[in-house]
Amino acid sequence: MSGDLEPGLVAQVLREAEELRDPGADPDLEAVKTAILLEDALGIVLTDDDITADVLGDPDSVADLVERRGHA
Amino acid sequence: MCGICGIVSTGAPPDLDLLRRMMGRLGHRGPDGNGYYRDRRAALGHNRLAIIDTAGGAQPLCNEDETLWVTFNGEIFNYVELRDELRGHGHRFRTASDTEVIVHAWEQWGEGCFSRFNGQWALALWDSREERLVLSRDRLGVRPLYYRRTPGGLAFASEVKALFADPTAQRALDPTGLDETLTYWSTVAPRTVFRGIEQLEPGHVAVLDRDGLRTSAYWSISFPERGREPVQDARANAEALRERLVEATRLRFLRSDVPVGAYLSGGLDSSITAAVISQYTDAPLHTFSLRFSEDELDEGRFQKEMAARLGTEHEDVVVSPADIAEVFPEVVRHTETPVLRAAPAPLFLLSRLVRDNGYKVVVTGEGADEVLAGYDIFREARVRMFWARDPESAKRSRAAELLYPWMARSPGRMPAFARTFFGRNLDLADPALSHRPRWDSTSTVKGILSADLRAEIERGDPPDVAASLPAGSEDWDPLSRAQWLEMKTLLAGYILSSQGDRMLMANSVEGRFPFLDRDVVDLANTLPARHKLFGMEEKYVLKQAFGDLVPPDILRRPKQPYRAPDAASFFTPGRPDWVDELTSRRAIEAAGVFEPALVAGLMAKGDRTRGENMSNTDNMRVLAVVSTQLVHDSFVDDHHDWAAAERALPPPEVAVDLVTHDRSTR
Repeated sequence: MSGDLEPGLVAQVLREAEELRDPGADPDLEAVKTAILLEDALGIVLTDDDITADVLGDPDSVADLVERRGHA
Repeated sequence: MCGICGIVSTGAPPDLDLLRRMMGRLGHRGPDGNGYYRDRRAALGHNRLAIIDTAGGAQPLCNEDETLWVTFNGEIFNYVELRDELRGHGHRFRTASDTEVIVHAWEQWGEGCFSRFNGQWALALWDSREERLVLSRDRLGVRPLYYRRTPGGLAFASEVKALFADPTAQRALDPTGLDETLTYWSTVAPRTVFRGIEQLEPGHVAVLDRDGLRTSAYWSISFPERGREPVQDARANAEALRERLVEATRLRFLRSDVPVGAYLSGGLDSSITAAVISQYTDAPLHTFSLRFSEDELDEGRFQKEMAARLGTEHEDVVVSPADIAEVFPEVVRHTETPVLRAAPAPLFLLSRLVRDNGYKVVVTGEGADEVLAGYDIFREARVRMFWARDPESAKRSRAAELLYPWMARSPGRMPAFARTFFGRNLDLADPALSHRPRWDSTSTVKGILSADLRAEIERGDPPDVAASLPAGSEDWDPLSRAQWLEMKTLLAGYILSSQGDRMLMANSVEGRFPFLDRDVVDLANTLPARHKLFGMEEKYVLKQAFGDLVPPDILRRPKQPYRAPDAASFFTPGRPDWVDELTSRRAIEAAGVFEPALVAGLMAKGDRTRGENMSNTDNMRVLAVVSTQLVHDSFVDDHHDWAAAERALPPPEVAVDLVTHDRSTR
């Protein structure tokens, strides 16, 4: 999968990913878990700088990240 | 469910006494009756577990002019619909059985009939006019079918022990079969662990006629190209899955003339099938569960919760390590192959519980983990793929800590070990990236093989099931390739066999598996991979589809695979004498499979630790030694008293002998 991502798919994946978030888990491991999901479901590749609790722990910043990577 | 066997001979007529001995060895598969047919070229035998048309479905069964005969093990769940369709083509039926549908379906559609069957079967059709034998096995290998090429033809049977009723059959372990077993946990069909014994591949048909024996696939495991799956909407796929799985479960519960019970493991899959079944019966459903004396393995809390929710009549059996050792020789006489886990033994005790409660059919959740990606190996593969995109990344390496959260020594608690174990061979181009850690760790068991056997194995090609991935599979999602490998190896060779058919049929119990329904599998294989494994969330679409039927703590609990005590079972105080006898230096030397000094060291280590906290490799080695020695003792050395079973065969219900012109049916 490359180029622009299909907006409906992105919205669906982000919504479902949010439902699976475990607030009690180690935030860094949750970030890794979210990164696995995004890379697999959307076909994007993240950098180590992306795989942080700050970036992947917040739905809005995840959406921004996917927007950037999806157009890469 | 039944046992089948037969002989085709191009020389003298098949030996009826041999056929009857073969049937005697399959008595446990069909204690409700038996029958045979013989002409000058072929003989068919049948042991019956009567489930559908208990009064009229005796076998072997024939067409109107008695030129086409069938012996059949299994169920064709859509036989009612097929019978209506065949009546429309002018076929007339004498019985209400699904067996007769097979005969007419073959007459109507030839080999095309098997694609129309939705069921679980192993069968043989004999066309006496064409002198043609047809063997067929269901799509994923629920039912077993073995055969041996003989100088004058072929012999076939549901179990290998029946083929060994012929004293001329070679009795030897096959080094390549052992090599595969000590790599994949089982052989890959058509191979078995016995020289000269083959098994029909799942989804295949074999034809033996004047042109010889040839096999071909009528169905194969296939997946769409990643991104081109027909339906991308998860909600729509969840609805479709629910519709098909409910129908598959309904068919498996209602299409029986005897009561049907259900297994409850405490996990998601059997909870769903039991919940669906409970909607189709006004009487309390009878459910059966397996428990363990060790808290770490026991799932009794979840079983009881689900049973209470459904209001079932619930029975369970609590299994201890000593129980496993006690029944293990009998278990291995049914697996007919070495096993690297003791897990079949508790399932043997569970099916005994079912039988003791008067049931002979159970619906279970088997197959869901393969079809809908529930196993940890798929999560493992996802982690390895993620990590392999940048093997030097410390952040990516932490993904290994997400694996196996239910284990006492989980990767999350032992991250350094986990990174070493799961970080090996991170090659994105490897089509078996998913399975490499399992296969590599299993292969370490071979380190205790005898020098002679290792040399013989090394003269052959190493096992490489990944090389037979179909053309175009490089465009599948990696999860699909992992599912294909799992279905080709562990599902058919171990889960459905050593843990499935064999442990159920040992106690004359038929298992029915809605998750392996034709229509469920066809749908599941077209789902986008993310609907099965969504990130690290297994069986995502199944949870979406049935979230209302299962309590939240069962729905949300991390997948816990079925596990049983392994090596510890054979080092309990007062263990059975057979353990020491079969692992003695003399017995190990006589069998020639393992290096005696290494086995002695392994068993001494087990004695010192009572088998507790042994490494995964040592656990597998103990099981490999014990089970292989048992296989050798019963099948190669022939020390088991098979004649007792042969003598116990009751008089036949169907006896048609065209050689002597004797005929009787009861």
